[in-house]
Amino acid sequence: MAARTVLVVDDHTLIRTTLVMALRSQGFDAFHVPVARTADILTDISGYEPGLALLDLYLGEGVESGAELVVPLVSMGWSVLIVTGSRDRYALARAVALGAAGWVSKTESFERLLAVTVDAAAGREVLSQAARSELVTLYRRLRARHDEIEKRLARLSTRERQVLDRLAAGVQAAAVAEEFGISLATVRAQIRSVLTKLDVGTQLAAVALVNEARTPS
Amino acid sequence: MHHFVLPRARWVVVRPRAVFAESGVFAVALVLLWWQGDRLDHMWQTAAGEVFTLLALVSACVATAAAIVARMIPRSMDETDRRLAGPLAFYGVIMIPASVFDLPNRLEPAVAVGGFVASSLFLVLMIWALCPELYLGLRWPTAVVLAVLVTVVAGVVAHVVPFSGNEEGPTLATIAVVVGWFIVAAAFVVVGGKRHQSVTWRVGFGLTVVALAHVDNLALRPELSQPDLDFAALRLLGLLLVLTALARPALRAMREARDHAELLIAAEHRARQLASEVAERNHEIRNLVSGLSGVTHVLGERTPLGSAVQAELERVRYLLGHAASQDGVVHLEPLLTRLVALHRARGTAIELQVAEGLRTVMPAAELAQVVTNLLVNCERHAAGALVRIRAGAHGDGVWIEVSDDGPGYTPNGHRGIGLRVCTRLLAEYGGTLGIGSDDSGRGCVALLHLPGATGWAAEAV
Repeated sequence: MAARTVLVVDDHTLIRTTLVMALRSQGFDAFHVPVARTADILTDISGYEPGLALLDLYLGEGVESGAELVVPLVSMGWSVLIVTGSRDRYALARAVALGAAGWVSKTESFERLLAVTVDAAAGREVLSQAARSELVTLYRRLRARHDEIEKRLARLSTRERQVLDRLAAGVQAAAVAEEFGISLATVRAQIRSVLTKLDVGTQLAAVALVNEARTPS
Repeated sequence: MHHFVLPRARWVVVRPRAVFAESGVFAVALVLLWWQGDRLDHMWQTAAGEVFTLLALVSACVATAAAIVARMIPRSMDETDRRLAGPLAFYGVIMIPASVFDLPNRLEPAVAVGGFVASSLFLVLMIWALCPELYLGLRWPTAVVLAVLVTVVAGVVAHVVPFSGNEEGPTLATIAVVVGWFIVAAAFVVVGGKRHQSVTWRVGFGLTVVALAHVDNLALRPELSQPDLDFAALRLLGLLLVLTALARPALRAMREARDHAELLIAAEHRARQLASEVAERNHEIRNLVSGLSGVTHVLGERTPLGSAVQAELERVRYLLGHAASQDGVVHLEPLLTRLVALHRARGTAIELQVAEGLRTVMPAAELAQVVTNLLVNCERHAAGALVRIRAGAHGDGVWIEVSDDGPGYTPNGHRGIGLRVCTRLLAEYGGTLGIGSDDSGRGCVALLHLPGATGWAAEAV
């Protein structure tokens, strides 16, 4: 089934403008919506006939990831094509696992971007089954790892978590003690407790866990 | 909230005054024990045996702790200190505990011989620790196990073989062991002083105190019926000296490792920040390139300038780390035409002469990079000169010649980096670059040889 409606959700003016112009010249009913909160975007597009949505994953500071739009869009009957300038495989895998039809990188030429869009709008396969299942597997694996780390981090008390976050930010234990107005010995004791609770042997390993937990999801 | 700030634990650092105070305390304790130690035996008339056993067990713990601490000293610091783990473990885990068992009289010879052998082996292990060049392919646990085995065998032999002449008072063997203790202790002090290793000579002092304890006792095995408390106390003091000597470098190493980890984390944090800044910047540039690419598309790629901009954007994409061109075969004519249009727009006079149907397997982005570098070189070193680009086939390959009628090529000129990049890019795809002056000595000539696209490869696309 060929979609005639193409929605562009991208915070970059030049891209969304040229995409809309190029798609219109190819006979599509293309439009873009202002990037705002997910709920606002969904309200904005409620009047349109569902078709193909070109979705950027990173919609700028202070706005949720574009991936949050995948599920509601798909449930409204839209087909979603991720157009991303990011190299974050995890975010991409998540979007695909949530139901995006495929993805295209902004580093590809504009012609290729258009070609993939046209294919996706025409309902043709833009992501091979193998590539899709690879991404879904990647997402599941990272997700499981993420959950496992979160579970371990949840064992920490508020203060322990604060101390660990400071350490991960490269603050030395002595400076942490000063910041919280406690003794260095207390901070050391808290660090030991953190290591025990996280089941790791060194501060480096503990910090690596926090950093891993922070990778965008 | 309570704000109680404890003084930072700095005692690990060796400070002259602290060392002085510490040595003073030990010296006073030593003198008191040596001089008035016998009074200890009268203090606990009834419980002397228990007190002795207690002191012996504490000594065993201290010796064992010293052995463990010795292993915590990093390998990079001093092999001697690490090797002390062997004799100290033997002393703390085997020798002292064995000495407080009340054994039946008929085992007397076995115990005496076993004690002598064990003491001798302990001293041998100490010497082994002191001389790192004595490797002998021995690891300290093996050394301890061997020592235990030899001791047991000696004890068993002494038990089985009849023993004659049970003398009263110190035997020759006892005296030999005590003298051995002093020699080893002195060796540690002297060698430590010579090598400027404070740990080693401190250990030597500790050993000297233990040796003094043995002089006081002059028996390899104390009589539990008549326990010598000042011997036990002196031995404990000596072992404490050894433990504190070894604990210093071990604790310092631990602290350094922890501080190092903190520095490492800080460095990693900065690196992550930097990486995320770069990623964000690249993300923005990719978006910009994508947008500009869209603009040229919408404006129409038919114009030569449009396609020239397109080629430049392709190059930026390539620099951002994405080999966009996976086309396999590149047609020279359109690519060179685009590049020439771009440089003509900058004001360079370029003549282009390309044979028809030339194809290469070198990717467009890389080839564009090479030709651009050559053109930029011409613009920089032969400003205003007429640039001529010619391309043709040569056997299976393709050649491109970029020449100008400027001042000519000087090998020492500042053309280095750009040309090196060209050579590297070309080499990656089996191409070569030759550069020199015109036959007439005027102008610079760069000649590229590229692998051509064979018939079947061209068909496949």
